[in-house]
Amino acid sequence: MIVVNETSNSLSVTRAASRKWWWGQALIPASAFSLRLGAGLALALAAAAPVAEASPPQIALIQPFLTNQVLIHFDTEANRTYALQYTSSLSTNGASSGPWSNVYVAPLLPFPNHYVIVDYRTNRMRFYRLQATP
Amino acid sequence: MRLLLLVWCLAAAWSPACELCAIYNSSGALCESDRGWTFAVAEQYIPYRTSQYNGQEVQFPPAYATYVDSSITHLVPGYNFSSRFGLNFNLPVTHLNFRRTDLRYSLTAPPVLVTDTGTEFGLGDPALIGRVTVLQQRSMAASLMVNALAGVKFPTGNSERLEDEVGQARLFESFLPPGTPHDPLAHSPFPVHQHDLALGSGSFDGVFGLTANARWRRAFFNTQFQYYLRSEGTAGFRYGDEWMVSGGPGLFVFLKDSWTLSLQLNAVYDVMGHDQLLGQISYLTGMTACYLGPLVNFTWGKHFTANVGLDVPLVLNNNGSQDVPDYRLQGGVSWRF
Repeated sequence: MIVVNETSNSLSVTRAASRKWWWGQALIPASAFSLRLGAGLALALAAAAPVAEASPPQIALIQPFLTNQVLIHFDTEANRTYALQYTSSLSTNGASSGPWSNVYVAPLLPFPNHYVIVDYRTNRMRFYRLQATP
Repeated sequence: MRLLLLVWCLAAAWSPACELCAIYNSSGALCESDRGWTFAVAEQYIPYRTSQYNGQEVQFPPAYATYVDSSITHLVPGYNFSSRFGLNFNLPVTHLNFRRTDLRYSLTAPPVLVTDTGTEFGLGDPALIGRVTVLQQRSMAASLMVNALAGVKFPTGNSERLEDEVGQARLFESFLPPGTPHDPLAHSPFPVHQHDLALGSGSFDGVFGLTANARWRRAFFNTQFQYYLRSEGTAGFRYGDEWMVSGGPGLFVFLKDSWTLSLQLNAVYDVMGHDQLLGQISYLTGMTACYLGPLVNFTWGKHFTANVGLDVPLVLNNNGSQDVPDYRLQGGVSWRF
């Protein structure tokens, strides 16, 4: 799960693996996975061979962009469709207290790719998750 | 004697695949030994309907299917100053029938999947190419000729699509943290790119070639080496250099008083280098290809020649995502005034 806290303009990423969904619970220890703004990002852009075994979808980076936007980075594997979704609030057990809405649905491609998605910082905070099918 | 001379001329004929090929078609088939004007029309048709990723065929969902049917007609007026020197002007007329799908990035919204179906039609980049015969040996039974060619390609064709491609690449690059390793064409994962549809490159390019033709009685062997030295063009886009070696053995099947017909097995080894933009090399471009196919040459009288050939791809090792040729069909007619 990616948490964007607009007030402090800090970014943190926590992860709790699941089979198809990658979201987490807000209180997962930070050691599980973390990315901070300014961390180096090496993009294996369309260079890797398609993998035989699907790996959990993963948001690679979130960074503030311009005055009121964020950029969300993620890699995709061959022959899978990815949906980047958001919700504005989570309950204490990590479940969404409102509906998840699509920010972007990446088309199915027969090879890996890297996406950068522009989103607006319209709320105080926003939670993102990445879904992959199949 | 006239027939043998005609045979020698035909042995030099070759089907046009590009600027040099079209030039060579006119200069070879129309006999460099005669001073005067020549004119050739050469056509190359290539359907790019197979999608490949790093040399492997891939299937896109039907909604994202892409293709380019490329038809390039070369108009080649020329003048031979003597048997050793000639000058030709190549004017390509390009018609591209295409369907293109790609991601389009913007500063204000997630990328949008855009599908564009249509045609591109217009004049491509013309070239002026000179020929020097560096070796010429002839007898009744055999002949050997070596030509050197060199010229320049001018940036007159429409290259607006390159501006759009570079603009998208620059936008995508602005999304990445500084110093992030990335390919400058990473924003464009689908197989038909803007640079595939540009009629011109916006660059002055060098064109160089060496041709050799040998004949012994009815048998002959032709070979050509070509090199295209690209420079930076529109929006800083630089197509990769390209070189190719082609040729093969042939035989005059019919030798009549008024016409002849020959058949040749033509092999092509073609290497297209990586393109560059934004000061970076794109390793998602370029291809190494091998083709093999028949080539038929026909001549009628002293003035008219025609040829038709088919290249069947044997190896297509492309980089990144590209649509590659299903085959290449080419033909041409030449007239010596």
